[in-house]
Amino acid sequence: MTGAREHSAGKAKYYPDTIAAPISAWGHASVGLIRISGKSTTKILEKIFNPAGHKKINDIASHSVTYGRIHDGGEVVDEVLVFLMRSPRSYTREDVAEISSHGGPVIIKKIFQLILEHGSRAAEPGEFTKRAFLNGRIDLIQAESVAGIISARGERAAKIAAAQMGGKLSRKLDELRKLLITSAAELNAAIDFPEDDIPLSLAKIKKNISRAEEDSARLLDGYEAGRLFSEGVKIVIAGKPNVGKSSLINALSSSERAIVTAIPGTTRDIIRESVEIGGIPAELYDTAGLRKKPRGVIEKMGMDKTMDAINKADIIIFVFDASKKADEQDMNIVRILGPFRKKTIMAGNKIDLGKKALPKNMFSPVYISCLKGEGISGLKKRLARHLVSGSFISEDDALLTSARQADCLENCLSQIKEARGILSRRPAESVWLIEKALAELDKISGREFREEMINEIFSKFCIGK
Amino acid sequence: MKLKSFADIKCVVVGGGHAGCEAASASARMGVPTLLITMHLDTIGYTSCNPAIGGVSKGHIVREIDALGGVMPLITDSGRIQMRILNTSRGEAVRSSRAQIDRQIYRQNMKNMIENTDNLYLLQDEVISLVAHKGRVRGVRTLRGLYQGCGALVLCPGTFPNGMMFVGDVSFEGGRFGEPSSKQLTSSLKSIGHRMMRFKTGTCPRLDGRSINFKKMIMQKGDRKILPFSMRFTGKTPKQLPCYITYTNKKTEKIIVKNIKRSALFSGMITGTSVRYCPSIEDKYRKFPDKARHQVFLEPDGVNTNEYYPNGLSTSLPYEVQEDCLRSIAGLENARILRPGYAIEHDVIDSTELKHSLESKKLAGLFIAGQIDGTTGYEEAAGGGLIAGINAACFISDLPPLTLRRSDAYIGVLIDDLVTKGTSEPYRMFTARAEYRLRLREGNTKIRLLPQARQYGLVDKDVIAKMEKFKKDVERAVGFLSVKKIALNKKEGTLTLKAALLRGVSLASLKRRCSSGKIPDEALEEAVVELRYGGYIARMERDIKKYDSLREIKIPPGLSYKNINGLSTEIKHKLQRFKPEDLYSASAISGVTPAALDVLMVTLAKSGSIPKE
Repeated sequence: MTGAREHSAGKAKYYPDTIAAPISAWGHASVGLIRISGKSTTKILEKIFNPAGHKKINDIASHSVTYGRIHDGGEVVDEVLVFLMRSPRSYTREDVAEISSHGGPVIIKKIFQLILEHGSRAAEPGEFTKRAFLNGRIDLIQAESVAGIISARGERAAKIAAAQMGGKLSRKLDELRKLLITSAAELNAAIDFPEDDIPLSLAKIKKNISRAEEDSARLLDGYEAGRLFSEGVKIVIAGKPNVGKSSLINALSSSERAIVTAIPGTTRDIIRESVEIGGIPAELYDTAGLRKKPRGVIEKMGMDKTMDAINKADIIIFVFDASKKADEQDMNIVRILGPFRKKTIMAGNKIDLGKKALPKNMFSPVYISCLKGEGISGLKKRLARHLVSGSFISEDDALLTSARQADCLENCLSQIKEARGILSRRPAESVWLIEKALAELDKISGREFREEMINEIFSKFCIGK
Repeated sequence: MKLKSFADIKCVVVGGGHAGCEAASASARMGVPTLLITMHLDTIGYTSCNPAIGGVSKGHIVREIDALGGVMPLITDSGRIQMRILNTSRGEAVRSSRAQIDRQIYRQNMKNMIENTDNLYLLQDEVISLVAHKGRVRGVRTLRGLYQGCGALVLCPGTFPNGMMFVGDVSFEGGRFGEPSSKQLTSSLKSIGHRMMRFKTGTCPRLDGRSINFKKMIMQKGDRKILPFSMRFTGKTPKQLPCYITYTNKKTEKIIVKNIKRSALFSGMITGTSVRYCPSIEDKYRKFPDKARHQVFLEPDGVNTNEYYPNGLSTSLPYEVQEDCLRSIAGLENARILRPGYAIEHDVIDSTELKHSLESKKLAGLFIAGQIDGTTGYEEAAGGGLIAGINAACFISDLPPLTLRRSDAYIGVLIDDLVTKGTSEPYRMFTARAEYRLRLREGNTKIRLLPQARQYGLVDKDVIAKMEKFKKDVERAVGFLSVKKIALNKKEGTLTLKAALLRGVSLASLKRRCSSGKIPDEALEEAVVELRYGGYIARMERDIKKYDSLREIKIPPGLSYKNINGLSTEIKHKLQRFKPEDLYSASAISGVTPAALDVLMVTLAKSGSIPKE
């Protein structure tokens, strides 16, 4: 294989880089597993893992389990078990380590980030399997499924990326991209057409590059703080008063990664909270009670806002009291939501108090009890399925996707910084760096900047003798 | 080798323009008996548009052609009436040379060189169809009834296939002003399965120099310190001539705006896609109404003629409007038109139906180069023609084709863009197209293309020796600069010349302080550039490696994408249509995702196309 180097053992063809990924659906499992594969595997362990009894990483025998602590510069992160498989007797035929942690998602995320900081990159979808196959670890019959696995994971990753990119993030990346394309186009125009008297303002370009630098630094901060997707998919919670809409919001947002940014307002205002569902950022909107005929002006305003929110929602959760028979008010809401049936999930709350039969037009609800916390994970699963159009996503898929995106952004930022520094002295090198930054953004968005940049040159400048 | 009859011809080249001359000359010099068939022997090497060769990124291409043993650089030097170095202040990577040439001297010298090339034979006739048998090219038929057999065929018909010209509301058939078009070749290409499109280009009126008032214009002379395009050039250049600069104004704008509907471009007569970067003057005013004035460069056509080329005034406005426009411009108030400007629309192929060798994916042994590939510009045509000619000869001799990488040469970028992305408008080179541009410099052409120059036997031994010496000199210079120390000033103490250079001390001032021994200036200058770019280029290496490794994984031509598990229908359809030669080409197709590429890689490994372990 290409880009691969012959390993001294002669068996595994080492790829130049080391990859890592969480490999268990740790949102649900009690043990989290992270796999590292590649030539830097043991080097990374040396930096982040303290085996019990001061054992050296080099002394750890292949295929043995070692107990110890993961640390971040001395500070203990978690107690773990490390299963080390030395090349070539491993899944990928490279050095492989699997770290199992008892920690929850936050700890797993932390360990994963440590691994990335110390010389690994986030694995691409299906990459372990691909390496295993190309290093001859999997035979032909097993390999029949490899293509399937890769493409299924790729598709899922693309869907997750698309979901994560929804809304604010994608707009911000777009703005950043535009700034860079404009700067590159202006510099390139001056370079490629030195005789076309193009008005070149280095000061203006510098300003744009500085802005791009700030923007990408801010985006990156967002990734690091895990707050990037704080404005993601819009989920509107609808239902008549007192069915438990607010408590549902609390239940959904009570996970440890939820960031509460309640916007204060009157009771008739729409309340917003940001949560992550299946690794995808979502905003929850509570609505004023829906009635067919609003009483009074204030309620009318509330109703208009609610209808507006319903129109814009990606998903609507219709909450009703499952312990009581559906009344006229419920049926009214069902009728109002009729046109939005495809994006509506029905949630029957208060099952701790009993469960009454449903009328025909209320179908396949998720039953929950916000009070007892029952059925919330089922509702989350249903939400996640809705978010990525049908396919269920695990949280590590989502984490991987954002780790790859953060990686690209970080590279993007460092190119921009350098480009700004040399702009006036070395314009040709500077524009080359800006293009490299753009290439990193393209990895996130799957677009291709070059043609757009050239188009920008010609739409902006009158060029050509 | 003496040709007994045309039966011994192995390679036929159609067309005697910039692509055809390179192709025919390369094929013949590689030892393959080659016949160049052109519609008119006297127009061999004719420059149909402006009398200049080179320019930013184009100058790079000309030097690359020189390093690979092509003819354009040498002929350019022999007909050069001015040379300038552009972009001196923007960094060495984008520094480019451009020459003004004497159109007649260029044409005569090119014809002379072609006529005197061993193994190369000429015929004035028009090729009307290709003859193929069992998926391979077998020969061509001409308008005058000749059948010429051949093992390889290079088509470089330029703007002639179904050429249609426009001057305002008047339109007429022709391949170039005053010359007939070629009407039958296209249907022959269609019959073997090539998709054809229409592209448009245009040119400026030619003016009588006696009617121009140069005193009202800015004179622009050539640069003193230049490096000829060709390492082989030893002769004398013609007398050096200046160019002149003037500007259009509000009056010009008024005339154009008033008459814009009469331009063939906007009257609906022209349907082909036009060149954005050589826009006609009416296009400039329509798209940029705020720009008050546009530059016009008056370029002399040569030393023995009064013709001038007003570069910047490309147009397809009616004759009398062209005249009115000229009247409005300072210095051109009394200018007389010798030949009107015109637009020309012609047939082009879909270049994604070519391989990187410029061989057709539809017919073995058929190579297609020049403007018919959808390019514009002399240099682009010549670069493509050279590669097509070399590969036609390789095809005959059963040698692997020469394909240049994007990281090797601008010619590599040109061909790669054409065959992997295609083009929906006439394609012109820019430095902005080359992601490895810091590596693709004019100054290091002799070094970066040395391996290819050695391999194909096109470059004379003494030129190879020059290239090798230059490489060694640069290496020596790099060593010298890295080791030799100098006391710069009290604050900085002693430091190496390299460190001093990187701190911004100029080479000239260092040379004043210490002797560089016998290292020639050109090598010393190149070494400085290399040191300066070293860090960036090291960072490119990883990308280049990845790209190289994907290029190494070939895709069997007959691979059926239909049954590959895990590819989306859209991607399958694209791959089936493009039939990429290798994984790199597949990756360059827009819409092919990294995951799809992995699936493809695994499929190839499964079928044994990639050896595992």
